[in-house]
Formats: sequence, structure tokens, C-alpha cells
Amino acid sequence: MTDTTHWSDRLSEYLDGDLSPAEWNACTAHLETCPSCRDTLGALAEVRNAVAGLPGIAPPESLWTGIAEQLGASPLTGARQDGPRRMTVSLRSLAAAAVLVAVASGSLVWFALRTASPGASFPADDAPTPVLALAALDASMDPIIADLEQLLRERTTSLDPAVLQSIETDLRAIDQSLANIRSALAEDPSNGPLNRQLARTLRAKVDRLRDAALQPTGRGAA
Amino acid sequence: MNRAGLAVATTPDRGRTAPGSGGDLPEARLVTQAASGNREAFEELYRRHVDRIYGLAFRWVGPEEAAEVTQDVFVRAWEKLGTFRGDSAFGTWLHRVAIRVILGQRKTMGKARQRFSADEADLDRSSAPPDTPDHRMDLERGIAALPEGARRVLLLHDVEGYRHEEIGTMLGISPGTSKSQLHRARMALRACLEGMT
Repeated sequence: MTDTTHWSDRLSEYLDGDLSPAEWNACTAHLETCPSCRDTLGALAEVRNAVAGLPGIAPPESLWTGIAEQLGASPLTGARQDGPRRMTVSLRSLAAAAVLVAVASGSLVWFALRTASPGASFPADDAPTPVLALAALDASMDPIIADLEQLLRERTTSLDPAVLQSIETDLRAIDQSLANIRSALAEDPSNGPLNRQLARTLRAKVDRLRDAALQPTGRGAA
Repeated sequence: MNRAGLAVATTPDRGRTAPGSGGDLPEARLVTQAASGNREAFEELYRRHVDRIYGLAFRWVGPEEAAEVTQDVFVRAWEKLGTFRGDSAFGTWLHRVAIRVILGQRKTMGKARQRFSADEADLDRSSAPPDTPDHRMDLERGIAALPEGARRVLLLHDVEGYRHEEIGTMLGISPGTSKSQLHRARMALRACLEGMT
């Protein structure tokens, strides 16, 4: 089996971030020397984006009538008594999220430098180890991201449907990437490129949620 | 190249029907009202999400059964609305309901869906949704022509956003099989996009 044959069948996994770090590095090295695989990878990305962007399909107008007839015979399960959660996120939370991600990115830049050149200095002498610092920062992002997600849920009906769809698609892709990166880091916590990627992806998520929160109501650009 | 392969998909013209009387209400409030038995609120939720649900059903089970499946999805959603806790977006929850309905129906229906193989040269144009623009027709027909297993994985992964481990659990296949099916589907659709540029 040639190198091309081996990797050509796994380019979708490469595109989706499903390869192990070692496989990813090997595939990347192969792509640098194989124009055929590069073309295939580009085509796969186009297909993925085109499929992900498939629009909804308007059903027959009579569809609701059939549903309404069945609702009368269908009991509700566990009807809720509580109201929706209050929106507690403010612009201050959005600013706090941005600062936190900036700090995370800064710490990881130091970590990357330290990994590359152990003599690199860090401003705080008593700073925690990079891995622990990253884990702490990653965990501290959870409540902020949760608040931003709640803010987005509160705004789903005031946003342009096309904008909302774009936001949801982006966030799904980001969450998938985060899951892949965290899984890889669990096996190799000190991997510099992966840690940098985690910081970038967290920043991407916060930025996307923040952009969604600041979107004007009604039609607007995504 | 970003290791995670992060790519942003554009989502043009997601068809939406005109909102009903609850068109300006936040979705969380509509869900609460609908969960309390308010059918007008549920109808508004239906109108906001039906295009995507019907599109999923259309591409999964075909045009003949899509309407019936979509009806079943919304009836099931009405029955289970009280269990929605807001841990995810309502649309996300609704799509999970749709997947469970579709997969459950396939086990009880006992029908063998006859799909065109990828080698079929004479694709049935009616397999594409009505009013599909010409520039997207080839992609829709290509999806309709995929082998069933590959099409299901493609829809679950690239449209619905499920991971291969989740897809494997849903479809009773290994994550490795899911990955190879997805790759096979994407490679088969390459030619469809070449005519779209």
C-alpha cells in the first residue's frame, strides 16, 4: 500500500480532526508532498460545507392540519410549571469572557515558548505549571460559556433565522473540535500545539457566542 | 492546516414559513406555553422548525414518507415537551426527537427502502426536493442516490452534527464503519459539486 493509498482513505478523518496527533502529523507531512491528496482534501471540505449548508424544505401546507388532529389525543408528559430562566448575562460577562480567553491565550503562548526553549521566563515566579493552569482556565470558562449559551437561547427568536442557523452550525463545529482536542490532550497533556489549539478554539467559541449576543435583532449579517 | 479541521459552513436560504400569532415571542416562552397545553404556541414552534425537520425526513426516508415521519416527530415532541429542560437549544432537542422517531420507525415499519445505488446512471429527478434550484439539484440527487448506510451517516454527521461514536450507537455500527461510510459518501458527492461552480 502506497502512502497515498493509505492516507487518501482517511482524509475525511483528517478534515474532521478525528486522527490521533501522531496520525495527524504524518498525514500533514504527506499532504505537503502529494497534490492529489491536497485536491481531494479540498473537495471533501467543499462537500462537507455544502451538505452542512443544505436548507430546510418547506412541507405541504396540509401537514399542520394532520398534526393538530393528533394533538388532541396525545397527552402531555410532565407539563412544566416553572418559567424560563432569567437572563442574567450582561455585557460585563461578555467582557469578562473576553479577558479570560485573552489570559488563557497569553498563558499558552508562554507555555509554547517554554516548551520550545526551556529558559523562557514568565512574569509571575509562583505561577502554576502550564498544564494545571490550562486545566484551571479551561474549567473556569464553563460557567461563562454556559451563560453566553443561555443568552443565545434567549435570543433565538429575535435573531434572523439565517443568522441563527449560521451561528448554530459554527458552534456545533467548534464543540466537535473541542471534544477532539480534549480527547487528544487527555493522552498527551503537554502537547504544545494541541494546547495552543485548545486556547484558540475556546476563544473561537467565546467570540462566536459574543458575536451572537451582540447581533442586532431582525435581519443582519452573521 | 488547523488540526481540528474547523470549518465554517454557510447556511443560505434556510426556508422558514411565516410566523404565526406568536412570531415575536422568545422561544423559551413559547416552549413553556406549549408545555402547558397551548397549541397556538406549539404551532408557532412548529412553523419555526418544520422546514429543517421535514428536510431531514425528506432526505432520510424519501419524499413518499417524509410527511408522515414529520407528523410523527411533532406529535412525539408535543407529548414529550414537558421533559425539555432547556439544557440545549429547543431545535437541538427537537432534532434528537426526530432522529429517535426515524430510527424507531425503521425498526417497526418492516419496509425495505429501495434506493438507487451510486452506480445508477439514470437518477430519478423526483428524488430531489421540489423547487430545488438547478445549482443545488445535483447535490440533492447525489444524496438521494447514495447507498442507504452512507446517506444516513452523512446526514447524521454533516447535517445533524453527531460524532461517530454517537452515530455508531444510533445505527448499531462501529465508529470506524461510520467514518468509512462518511468518507465514501463525501467522495461520491464530489462529482455533484463540480457542476455547481
